[in-house]
Amino acid sequence: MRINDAILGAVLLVFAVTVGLFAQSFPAIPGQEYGASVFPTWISFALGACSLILIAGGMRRWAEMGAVSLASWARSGHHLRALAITVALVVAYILVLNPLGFIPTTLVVLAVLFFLLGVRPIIVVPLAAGLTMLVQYSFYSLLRVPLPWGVLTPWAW
Amino acid sequence: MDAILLAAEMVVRPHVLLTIGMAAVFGLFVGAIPGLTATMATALLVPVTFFMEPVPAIGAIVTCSAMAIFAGDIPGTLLRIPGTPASAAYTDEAYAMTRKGEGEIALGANLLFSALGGLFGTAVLIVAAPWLAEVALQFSSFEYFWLACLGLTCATVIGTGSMVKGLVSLLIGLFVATIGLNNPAGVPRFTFGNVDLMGGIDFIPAMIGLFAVSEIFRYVLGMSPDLDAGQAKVGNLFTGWGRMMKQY
Repeated sequence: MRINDAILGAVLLVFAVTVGLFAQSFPAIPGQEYGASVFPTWISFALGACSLILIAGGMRRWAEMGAVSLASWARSGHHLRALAITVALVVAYILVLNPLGFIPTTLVVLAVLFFLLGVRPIIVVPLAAGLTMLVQYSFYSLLRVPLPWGVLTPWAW
Repeated sequence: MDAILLAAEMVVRPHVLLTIGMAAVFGLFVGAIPGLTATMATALLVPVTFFMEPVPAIGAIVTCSAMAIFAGDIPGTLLRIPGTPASAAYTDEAYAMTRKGEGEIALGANLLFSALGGLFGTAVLIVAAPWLAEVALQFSSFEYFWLACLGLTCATVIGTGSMVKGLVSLLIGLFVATIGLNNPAGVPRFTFGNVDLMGGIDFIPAMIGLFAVSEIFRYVLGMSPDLDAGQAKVGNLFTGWGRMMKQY
């Protein structure tokens, strides 16, 4: 999938302007010439310049390639749905991990992902459960990473 | 020379070699897991070494960190997900070799040149440590600044494709580096009140996000053509070493 440089440049330009303006809100250090805002401001200027070059280059080739040329997967509903589910799973994982706890969340997310990626249905749940417990054991018990227990807190070990 | 012979005699003992071997296996394991670095392997090993004699302890630490850095190449070559930050630079190339069925040559080259580089570095350190220390002490902010500039410009110019895009990714990287409290003014920049962002964005989460997550997306979209390829047998790692030695 290829996106015209002009669109990338426009997005970058918006980003650069936002960063530059936001950087102006950082407080200056009293009695010093250089504060926290200097470096981000420079970056935003340079990024803005680069995005203008990208826009100029992209506009020149606009006629031949158009705005976006889609790859084959972008027209296939199956692939798009798989991508959407994956992204949604990652976001849901971030939101749900702390209230629900590591073991149930990971179990569900892994099972859905395995199912999506065409693992044989019989072994999906045992595989997800086994991997979850393996990660739980190696990181929580061996490496002492404080993984959240969530709803399983009463049975925590 | 006597000192080197004495040192060799202290190392070539069964229990020292056994310790080194076990540390190597541990380093291999930690280094090959994306997200766990050589530093972490060493940090995990240090408490264990308190109960050892000095020679096996130091041997174990050195072996473990060297092995972990090399082991980062293994997932990088086979899955395009670098195991340690050190392997990130050539992950794409190594993976491309695996695609062409040259996985063992890529891994062999990684192993050979990791070992050669490590041995060469050690040799230089043995011979020239005092002078190197004097040079290193001369390094001040100016030298570090120009060193960083050199590295960054190299990254832009060497990067494939258009230079503007290289510059853009460089600038985005610099922007990500400004996030957090770590600036001379001590002002939280771009944290939006999030405590986790105050420490800045670490190398490891960035690497996992850039390499591992993008590889998973690629896999989900079925762009990896090796979905049904099954597992090819990894051949002898030592093939082609003689040729590589001569060529490079």
